Amino acid sequence: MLIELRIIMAIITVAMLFFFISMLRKQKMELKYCLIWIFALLGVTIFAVFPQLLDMLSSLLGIATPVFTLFLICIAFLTCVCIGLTIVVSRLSDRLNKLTQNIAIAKRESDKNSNKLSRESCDE
Amino acid sequence: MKTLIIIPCYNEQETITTLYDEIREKTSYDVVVINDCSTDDSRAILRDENIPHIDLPLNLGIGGAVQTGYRYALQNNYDIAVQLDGDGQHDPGQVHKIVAPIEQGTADLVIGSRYLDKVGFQSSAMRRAGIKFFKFLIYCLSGKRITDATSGFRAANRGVMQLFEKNYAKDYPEPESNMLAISNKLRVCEVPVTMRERQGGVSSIKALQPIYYMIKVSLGIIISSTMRVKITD
Repeated sequence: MLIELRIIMAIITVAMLFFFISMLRKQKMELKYCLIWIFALLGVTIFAVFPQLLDMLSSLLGIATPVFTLFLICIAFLTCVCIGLTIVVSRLSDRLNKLTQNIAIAKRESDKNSNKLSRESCDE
Repeated sequence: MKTLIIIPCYNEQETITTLYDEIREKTSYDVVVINDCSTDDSRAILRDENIPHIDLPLNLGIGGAVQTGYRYALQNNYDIAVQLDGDGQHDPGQVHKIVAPIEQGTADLVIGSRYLDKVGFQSSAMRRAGIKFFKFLIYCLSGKRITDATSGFRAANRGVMQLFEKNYAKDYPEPESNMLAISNKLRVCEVPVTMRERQGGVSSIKALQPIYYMIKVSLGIIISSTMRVKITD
């Protein structure tokens, strides 16, 4: 693998690591969801430091250019993350739906009760 | 039997009061309007006219709104929940027709169909073609003939309410939920009703691409046909 590519990978990794740490400190990201990106950075670092690994993997998969192997890994990883996010979003929207309904019903019940109370106090 | 009429309402300021008055005049059933975070004056009208209503703090769409009604009906021990559109398409004078099979204990979910007697408002040719397709699809998957799967004029007993409280599509929910009821071994039947042309509001389908609608609902029906929902009290 080209030395230029390895340097770029190293720079991006360090920059992203700092970005994630600052987001975590400001509590704009949850560690639970951030962890996967930190592992990904770790993976990139391993490939940047030991490019032979990528060459080995390429010959194993029958891919002539190691860069394409890198792309393949990236695409596979991003697809997994996107599917994971779709699952998370679906779950959140389901929870929001239920929460909204329960709040609205609780408000209706409390309005009914307060109406009843005010009517009773008028009767007295 | 304790019966509740659920009216989903999104921007129905022109029709909601007349509809409520008509229901009061023609039936003695309880009513609850689910205001799905309307952006017009619906909320103020419901409050000022003293119409029993639930205000959703967020817009959930027609499915979420109707599901709120089912949840409310379950919590308040209603035996039957009737769904009736807020735009005046459904005639409150015919509610007793769709409630009757449930009261007699011969059905769990009753759909008011405009295609059994073929009288009254029949909708456009395009929509009828779509509804025919759903009829075909549901027939293939379950062997049941549902002539008006998109009808929002339905009555449900507690078993169906429990099912719908657990699982109800967020948009265009009717065809899917009919299929879900069938696949969960509930007795679904249709009774003839006449529908009117909507008096206000716009169809939730009109604004969206019909192709998207057909694909989404068809997939929903197919998936629902394979679903068995566990109901725990």
